[in-house]
Amino acid sequence: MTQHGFFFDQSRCTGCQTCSVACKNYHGLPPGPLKYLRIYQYEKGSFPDVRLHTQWVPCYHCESPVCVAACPSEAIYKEPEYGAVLIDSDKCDGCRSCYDACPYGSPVFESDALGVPARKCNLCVDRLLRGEKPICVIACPLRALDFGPIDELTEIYGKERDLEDLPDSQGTRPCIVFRARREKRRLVPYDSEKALGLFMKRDPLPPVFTSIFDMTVIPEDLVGRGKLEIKHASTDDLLRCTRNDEG
Amino acid sequence: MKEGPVSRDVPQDRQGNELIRYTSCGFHCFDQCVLKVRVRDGRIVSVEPDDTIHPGTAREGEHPADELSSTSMVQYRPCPKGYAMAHALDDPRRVIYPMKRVGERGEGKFERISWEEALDTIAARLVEVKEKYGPHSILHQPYSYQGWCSFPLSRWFGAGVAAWGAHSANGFQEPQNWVYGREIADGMISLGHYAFTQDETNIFNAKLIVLWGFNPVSLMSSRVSHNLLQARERGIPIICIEPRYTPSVEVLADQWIPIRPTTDVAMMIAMANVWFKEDLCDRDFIEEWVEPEGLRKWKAYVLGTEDGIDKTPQWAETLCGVPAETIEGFARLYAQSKPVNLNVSLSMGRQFFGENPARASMYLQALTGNTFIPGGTAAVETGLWWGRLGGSLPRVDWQQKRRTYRAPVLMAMYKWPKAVDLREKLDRGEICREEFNSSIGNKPDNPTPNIQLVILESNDHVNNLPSMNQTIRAMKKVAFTLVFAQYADAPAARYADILLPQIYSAYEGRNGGCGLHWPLFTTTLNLGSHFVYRQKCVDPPGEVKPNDWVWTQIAKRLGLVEMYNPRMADTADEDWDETVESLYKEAYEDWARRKDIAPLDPPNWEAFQKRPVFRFPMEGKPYYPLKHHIEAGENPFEGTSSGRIEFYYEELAKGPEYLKHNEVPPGTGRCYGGGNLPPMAQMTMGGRDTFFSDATKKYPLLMSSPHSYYRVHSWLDNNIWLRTDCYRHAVWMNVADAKSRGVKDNDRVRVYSDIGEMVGPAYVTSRIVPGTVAIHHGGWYVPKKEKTDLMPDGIDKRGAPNLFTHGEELPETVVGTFPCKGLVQIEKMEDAE
Repeated sequence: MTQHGFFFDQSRCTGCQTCSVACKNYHGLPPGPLKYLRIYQYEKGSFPDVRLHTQWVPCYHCESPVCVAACPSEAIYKEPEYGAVLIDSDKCDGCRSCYDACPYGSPVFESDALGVPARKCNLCVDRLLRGEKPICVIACPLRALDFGPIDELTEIYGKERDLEDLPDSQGTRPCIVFRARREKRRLVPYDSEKALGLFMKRDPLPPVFTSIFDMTVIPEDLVGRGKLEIKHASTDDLLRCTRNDEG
Repeated sequence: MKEGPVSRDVPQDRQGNELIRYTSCGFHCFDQCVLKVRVRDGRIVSVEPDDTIHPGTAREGEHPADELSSTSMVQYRPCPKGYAMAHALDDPRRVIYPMKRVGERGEGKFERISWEEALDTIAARLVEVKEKYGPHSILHQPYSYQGWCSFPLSRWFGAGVAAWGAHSANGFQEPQNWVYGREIADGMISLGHYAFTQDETNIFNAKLIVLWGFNPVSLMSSRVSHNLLQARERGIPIICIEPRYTPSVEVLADQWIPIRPTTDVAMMIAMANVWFKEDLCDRDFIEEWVEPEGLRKWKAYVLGTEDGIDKTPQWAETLCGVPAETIEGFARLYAQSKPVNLNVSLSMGRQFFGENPARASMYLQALTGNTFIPGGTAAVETGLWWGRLGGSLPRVDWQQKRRTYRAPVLMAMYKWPKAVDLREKLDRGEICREEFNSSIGNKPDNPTPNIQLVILESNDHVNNLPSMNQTIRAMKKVAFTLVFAQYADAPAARYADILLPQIYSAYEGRNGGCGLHWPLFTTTLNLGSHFVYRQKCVDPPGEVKPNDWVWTQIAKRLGLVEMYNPRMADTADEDWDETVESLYKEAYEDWARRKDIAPLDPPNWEAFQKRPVFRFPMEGKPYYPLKHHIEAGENPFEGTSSGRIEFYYEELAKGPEYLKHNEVPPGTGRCYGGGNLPPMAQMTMGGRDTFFSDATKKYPLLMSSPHSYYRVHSWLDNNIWLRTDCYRHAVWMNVADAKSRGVKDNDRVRVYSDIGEMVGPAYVTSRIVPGTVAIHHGGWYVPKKEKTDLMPDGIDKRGAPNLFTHGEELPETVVGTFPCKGLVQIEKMEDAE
């Protein structure tokens, strides 16, 4: 077996969801929570020092897949040619042990009903057998993705197997190489505190807000998508967290 | 790394019984991406990205970036819309038969009728309305603009009205004339270069790229975004000046400078102030190319030598919210970074007096000598990165007969609802002809349009126009309405008397383009160095027909078919597709024989059909604005009165009375109708729907309606693959504005103003400037049962921003702007619905 995997370049990802929609289209999945590939967009910081993060979460086809070990029905297995983690749906009884075990929340379910079988990213094995890359990889408008034997990806893109906010890779050894978002470059001076003061006033009209703390103190749950949440209590929650506000 | 196999020269059959087709979305998008479609048993199995070049490549364009980008030999990968649209074809909600209204207009109640009945009714009403109300009674939208009348039969039927202005280019369109003396569509020359365009590789020659109000990721996700990304990765500095922290800011920009909407011109003026004082302008360029007297007047305004207000960065910072030190630093960086590739967005021009920031952007490039150098831009509307193909597409010769009627230009294009609204007052003698005409952008002594028959074809003109309630009133008042739509509950469709089904021309095609419907050869509006022949993938469901077929049948009933579509006058329905295709084959072959095209060795038609995408090789130095003129030693500005770049436009200085009665520029059919627009770019305080308007006392939040990644205007708003899967259509609110109203993310809020009301979820974020709100353009007006005086057809429960934009009455001026701003107030809803 040659373990294959993905490369995700966070510095190029706009969170547009093209890969996710192309994936559903290719695999004939209905609209709704059956997302083999989930895109998360969330913000950090406060105005004007805010950043927009994205995460690209398919199944990472781990080298130590905890879902395989957790499955009481032996329905999940490591496919021998590419190292894909696959589910034998005939054997799955929908107990969701795999979901509980997976730190990335990669198994997905059509509904919250008991006994609904788990489904997941299958690495487009049918495409791989025809010598093609997974559909998500060739669909990305900004070319943020790549795919291949994990050793080759490491050689090209480096050794980084962890990304800010995602669970530590040590436990499961996910087959993905990351490139993190870029740091911003300050090309011209910018005093954030002064800017906040300016944005407060609208002379001669009433002020826009009354204190800089109105902008910088952000209580829990005030903003939408203020943190990364990738494990979900329900399908509704999954949909809530994987939608963005760009439409 | 070894790339995937590339030996699949001929599309292969996945399951043994699949057809492969290639097409392109073909709605009014800036990109024309390539969609590979698998069809089985007459239905689409899947849509896949462009593989007509570099099949199987993941990070195409990277190894090595320079070579691929500089030849334009790259894939045109679609965004989610291309995939999601394919699912809409057999959407059970879709209108698939002709329908007639059975309830009141606006109720959305229809019943199925035959094509025979629909076409007979339309033909009869056209004749009736023309007879009763005269030739200026028929309006076809949304493309009766820029002096055109888009009613396909107008020129032989002898009726129809044309309009000036545009919904797209407004704000920038007129200033381009004033400053450069060139029309927006001017300058199509050999190999299709639009005079002001740039090749995609031009940006790599820049030392600084500025994205001003420009969010290419949502609007131009394919080539423009990819090129900007590559520019950033090569280390070219990119600064984004924007009220929102968009995905473009995150991925493409080194630095974000947040700015209050409607104040951009103040920052531009302050930058020039720094340049004048620190002697940072390009003196040689100015000497040669800028008309000196107008520049002197503008400089006096900037330095305050006449009005006593020195428009320094300190002056601008209180308006823009951008610290003076930042404006100074940016001004210096800009002046020292030649070439500067300044990309301004159309939204900046879509505001009260949007002509001000539009002109000022052009001034910035002129003052620094960046207007026409490799790597520079002329700062015209950003959408027009037209690449190399604008004028060199194959075109079908439909052999239409010479016109017998030319529709007169009788209004600004977005004023037609007002023309309908005011007509009763005119007829009752409550207003005079001069007042009527002046308020719709028509010359006082011109005939008055009496619009009684409205045809809305392609896109949702009710939802897309400012002042939606006024448009709705107009739709209810006229004698007859004909709407083409895919859904009966689309905002325009609900006001139809006859509702005709509409094809998805990407997949169900054979709109030939003999009217103005999207033709089968499509090219992109930006970086257009390729074109796609849109192959038909599947038959449309039910009785859905191409628009060209519809107009041909109506033309037959009116005895005009030999004039409108003579080559298909006798084509039977079952031969329709084949005949259209044969005309396209002929057009392609004629094109391939052209002496400028033949050396490019285009494949023959049969080979082309296997991969129906033609890419223009971009050899030689990239095109930059006006390159051909400069290299030929021609003066590109001969259209201005001085033959130079003009900062001061004399016509506008002639005063309100003159402007009311004269076309500007003379002989163009445009009447600006207002005298308050200054003859040169200025910061005009307090205008309607601006950040410093007095109306903010009552409606303190300034709403903008940016384009969405998931719609093209109103297309696809109800697509469940996008709407429920990808995004939430919510009201963007800043943290401070939300806190002071007790609003948390996803709370339901009421948004209202003096002209509209909606309810919807709030998106609370630090990604937007305080005191401002964003509701993405194209969300459909979906009425609740609850009706009010303000919302006679029901309060909106989806979120249509044009309920809040004032298009009908910019104070004392018409000019060309089509605003996408509105002042609103927001409160938290206590009830749950």
